[in-house]
Amino acid sequence: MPTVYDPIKVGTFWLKNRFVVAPTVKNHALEDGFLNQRVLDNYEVEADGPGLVICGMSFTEPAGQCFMRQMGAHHDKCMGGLQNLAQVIHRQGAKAALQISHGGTLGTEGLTGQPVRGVSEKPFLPGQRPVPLTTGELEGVIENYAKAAGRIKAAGFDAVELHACHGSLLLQFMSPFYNVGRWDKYADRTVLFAETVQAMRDAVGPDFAFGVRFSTHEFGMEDLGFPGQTIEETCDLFIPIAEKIGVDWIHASVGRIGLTPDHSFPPVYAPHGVNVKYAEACKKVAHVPVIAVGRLMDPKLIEKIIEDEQADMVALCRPIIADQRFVKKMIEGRHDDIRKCIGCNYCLHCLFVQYDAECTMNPSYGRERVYEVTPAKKNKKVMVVGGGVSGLQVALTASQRGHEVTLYEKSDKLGGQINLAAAFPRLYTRDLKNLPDWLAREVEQTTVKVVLNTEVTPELVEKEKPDAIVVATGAKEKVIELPKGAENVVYLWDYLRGTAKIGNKVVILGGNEGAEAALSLAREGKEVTLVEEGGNIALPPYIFLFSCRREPLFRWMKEEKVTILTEHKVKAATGDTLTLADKWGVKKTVAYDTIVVAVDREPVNELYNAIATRGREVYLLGDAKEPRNMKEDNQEAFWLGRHI
Amino acid sequence: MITVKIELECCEGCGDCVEQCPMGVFQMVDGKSQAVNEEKCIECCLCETVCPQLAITITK
Repeated sequence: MPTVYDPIKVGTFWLKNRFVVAPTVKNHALEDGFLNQRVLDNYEVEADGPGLVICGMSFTEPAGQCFMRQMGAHHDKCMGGLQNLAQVIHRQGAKAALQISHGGTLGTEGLTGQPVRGVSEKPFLPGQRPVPLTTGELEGVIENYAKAAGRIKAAGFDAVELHACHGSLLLQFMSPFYNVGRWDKYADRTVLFAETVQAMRDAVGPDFAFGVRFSTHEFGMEDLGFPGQTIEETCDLFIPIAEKIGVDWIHASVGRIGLTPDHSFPPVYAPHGVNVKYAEACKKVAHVPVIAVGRLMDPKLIEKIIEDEQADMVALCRPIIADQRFVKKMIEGRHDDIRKCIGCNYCLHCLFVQYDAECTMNPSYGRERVYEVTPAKKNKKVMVVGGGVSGLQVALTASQRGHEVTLYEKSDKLGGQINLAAAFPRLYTRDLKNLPDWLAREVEQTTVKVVLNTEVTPELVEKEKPDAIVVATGAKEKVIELPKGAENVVYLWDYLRGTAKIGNKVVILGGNEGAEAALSLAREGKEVTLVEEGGNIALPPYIFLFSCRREPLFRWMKEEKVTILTEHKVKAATGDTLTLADKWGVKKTVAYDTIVVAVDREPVNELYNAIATRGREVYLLGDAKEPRNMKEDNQEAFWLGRHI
Repeated sequence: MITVKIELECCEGCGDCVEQCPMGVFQMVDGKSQAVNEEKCIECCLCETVCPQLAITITK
């Protein structure tokens, strides 16, 4: 029975264990695709522990670039950086691979300076008019893949991976949804794939390892009603083709960016290891190792996947972003020390707004050297007010630097608002607690004194005389005035605490903070109407636009038949009907027996206002400054902790 | 120690927990769910949210 800690032979070399750092686009390189020290520092930390590091998606030619600071393998001038990268990974004891890709319609003209090219005229982004690549041009594209593979081999890497997933050019040719209207040999969906694999294999020779990452199942039919690549096709068609030409591993991912992204990058709502069954299906037909990937941040689940032979190797992407020492901690048996990814997908959102990938859980991601925690110049007595994410993080960091920290929490437990956010009865958001739980556990192991059930007053501050005070008292729900006659009004947090009496016909006021509640209530069997004054729903500060969280929410709200009314205001109420008006004044009556108010939050900052003027070192932190999300709060708290 | 508690009176035998648990903790026994592999629980708490009767509680 194999374990994830056992070696495995891949191609012609051995990996010391089954852990793989999955290819991750980090947007940390330079705008022209060349590498810098930042990239090397980042991989240096991550390469300590796993058997294989597959460095993220590098573009094979300038027209194939799709992220602003994506790594490139497009020119011989890249070799310097690539050699450095391979060396750093090898020094840390791992084998090194690089994944290459041509973005196709994932790119934009603004980025590449050239018109967007693709398989057909079918756009990926609204407003795109892709120019189909001609047969002759495709020969050039294939040659660039082969040249890039050759560079990677010459740079000292142990392997190359072909990106044929998630919406890049190859998947566009393999997908029945995109590959339409062609008249040449590439209208056959397997031809570009086969020719590219053959060209790359010819370029690197028979002894160099070469893997393929598939979107084994595109979910086109399930989610969109359009055909897409299916797992059956992958197993019956693409894997045999790849193996016949000669590949050394199959990396089983799913989905496509933009259309079915919440399968490619399962967000917080998705079960752990939701895509492992696709790797399992591939393993039934493949003769080479299969890598499973997708929301795998539980050590026991990872161990089980290998022991039960559902896959041969396990790739971790976001879990490594959240905790770059994940693999090391697992190998050392320190499972409880791992900071587990919550699936907020902020990292993904960063990429699609062309920003550097950052992480809610890991404030020093991409800035490993720059954000090192260093001892304080002068040890201070620090009072932290509030035991939520901000308070815990600043207490932890300040204490690590030598300060004497006491943390006060008004209630009987730590975690703050996340305790509520993770408590939806019928929507899976439990993982959100990973951050405060990890912080609380780390704080326990420092000298921070944690005082629960104590509200800090100006008098207590006077008594304790700290050198610095951090007020991280969080936020509360805004209380709104409803028209006279409205009955059975409860607030979102009452629902989450379990103290609200909810009937059967629920109207939720507030389409942003209330979107998740709408789904949870609908799944409980209630008839739900979601009313929002603005034009958008499901965009509270903690759901990022490109985090793939809205797509499943909308899909499920449609399934549960939630009525969504945007641009509607509440005008009048009786005990059992609400009169709403849209932006043109057209009225609409909705029957209800419960109103759930889920409008904005507002800061709790009375303490700060009371003590901020006394000439002391007082900081306002987190949602108490402005109610937002864990990512901003955690990062700001880390920054403050490093600077006190 | 992690405990998986199932309120058997509430359990309607839908089998969602069996299907969704990534670790295979649950099995249907005589029409109701049972945590036969309780020691494998990773506390992901997916079972708590998928159960239509909210019959499952994970505690440490």
